[in-house]
Amino acid sequence: MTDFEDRLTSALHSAGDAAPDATGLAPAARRRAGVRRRRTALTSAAAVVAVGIVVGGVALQGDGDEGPSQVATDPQSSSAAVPTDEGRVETWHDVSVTVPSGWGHGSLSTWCIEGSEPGTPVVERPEGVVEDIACTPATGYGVRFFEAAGQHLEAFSPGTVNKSVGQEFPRKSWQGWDQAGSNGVLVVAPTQDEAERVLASFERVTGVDANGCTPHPADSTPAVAPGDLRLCRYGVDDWLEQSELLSGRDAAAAVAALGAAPAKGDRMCTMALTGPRIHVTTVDAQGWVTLDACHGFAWVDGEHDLTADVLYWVLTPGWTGGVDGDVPLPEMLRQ
Amino acid sequence: MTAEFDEWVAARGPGLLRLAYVLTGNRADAEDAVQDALARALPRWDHIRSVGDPDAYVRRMVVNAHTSWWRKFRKRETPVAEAFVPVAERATTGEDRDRVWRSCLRLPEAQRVAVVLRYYEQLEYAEIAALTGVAEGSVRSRVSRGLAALREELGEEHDDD
Repeated sequence: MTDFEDRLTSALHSAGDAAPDATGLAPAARRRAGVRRRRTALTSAAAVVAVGIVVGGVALQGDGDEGPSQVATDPQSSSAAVPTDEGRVETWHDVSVTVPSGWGHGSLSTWCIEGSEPGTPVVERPEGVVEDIACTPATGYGVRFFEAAGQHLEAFSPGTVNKSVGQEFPRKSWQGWDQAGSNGVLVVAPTQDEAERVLASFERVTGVDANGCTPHPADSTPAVAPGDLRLCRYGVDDWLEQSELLSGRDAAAAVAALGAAPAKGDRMCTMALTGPRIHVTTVDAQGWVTLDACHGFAWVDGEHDLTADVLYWVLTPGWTGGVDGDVPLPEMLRQ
Repeated sequence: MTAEFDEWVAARGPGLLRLAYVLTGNRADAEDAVQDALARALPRWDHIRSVGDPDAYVRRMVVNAHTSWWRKFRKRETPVAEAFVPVAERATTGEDRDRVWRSCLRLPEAQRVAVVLRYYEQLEYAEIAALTGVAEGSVRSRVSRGLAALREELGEEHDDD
């Protein structure tokens, strides 16, 4: 360790010594669990039975009587699929997949928090909120993006879907995975057809994705149609985390929110800008919104302060990060 | 199960609270994160104990509770225990440790989590990768960038020893 690392370790331990007293933790947790249980009982009345999938050292297995079905994929293709009424494109880093419009966002492994059966499929990105509380099966339905390093998915071939019999997945769910470069996607769906369609849409993004976003921030991006607004959200590592293309009234409301943000106050920010940040593009303007209250954001006619309305529109659905500083947050996120 | 859970919380709770406090810099948020994680673990306590290491499970839940967007929403409903003192002001006090920690709290969230898990929890890069769900290379990058940002803010020379 360097001297600086030693100082840092010492500083963090010193800070920890000032932590609050742990007295009463267990009773407080019990009270919260009671409230959560009552809320869950209400929610589970409308629970939907679905399918699940898991990644990360978990064996995937066919049940023998229904062999794997080959899905035509071309992971090297850079031709981005156009979103249709039948689905939406979800991108993470340099891979993308098209999922049914009704699929939500979240973690595949948390279905048992809200219901008694695996429910609505969700799209999961690494670093999302993962309440790892050992649901059985361990994962519900949806799509999970993953970094290939350290994953063990050799139980069956990439690009094929298989019926699961393992305890890690919902009974009779259909699963498949694929990988391009160092990133991949795992699909768990209730039906073979749905699993195949989602997996077949998997592709590597070598240029821009279906929404016009590049895997890393670029000097130039494709033009945006009049009336549309493109959001490319990048993480602190400058990898694309999610993309979105707003149109119609949504795009107009987003532009209005950006323009209505007050001019940035006169203040000095000590920490350099490092993201996460969102690149916002319209037909005649573009700018970066960094999730840092001090720095604000640059848009059209100058620098502005972050507002709740701006965050409402630029934070893509399913975002689970934080905003540094004292930012007025929206009442809810877009779904 | 209740007695066993209480026993585990009595033993591990203080450590979890310290980790949450180092991550959040706020007593109310730290208590909120730990209580929430424990509340989620409690109904499945027997299962958690039977399938794995409860320490790892709950620690991961605390870290993720901290990084949750929804936690940020709840923060508005909770009185802030301590005012955030600007770095420049703290620098005049000569309290070096506090200054370093406050600077750490100002790191972007992903870097802050990686730095705290590395230098407070003393976890290996592979352990941090498993806990946060990102590749080990990404963890190394975040720690490295976090250290660089801290050095810059604190006006430190880079030492390579």
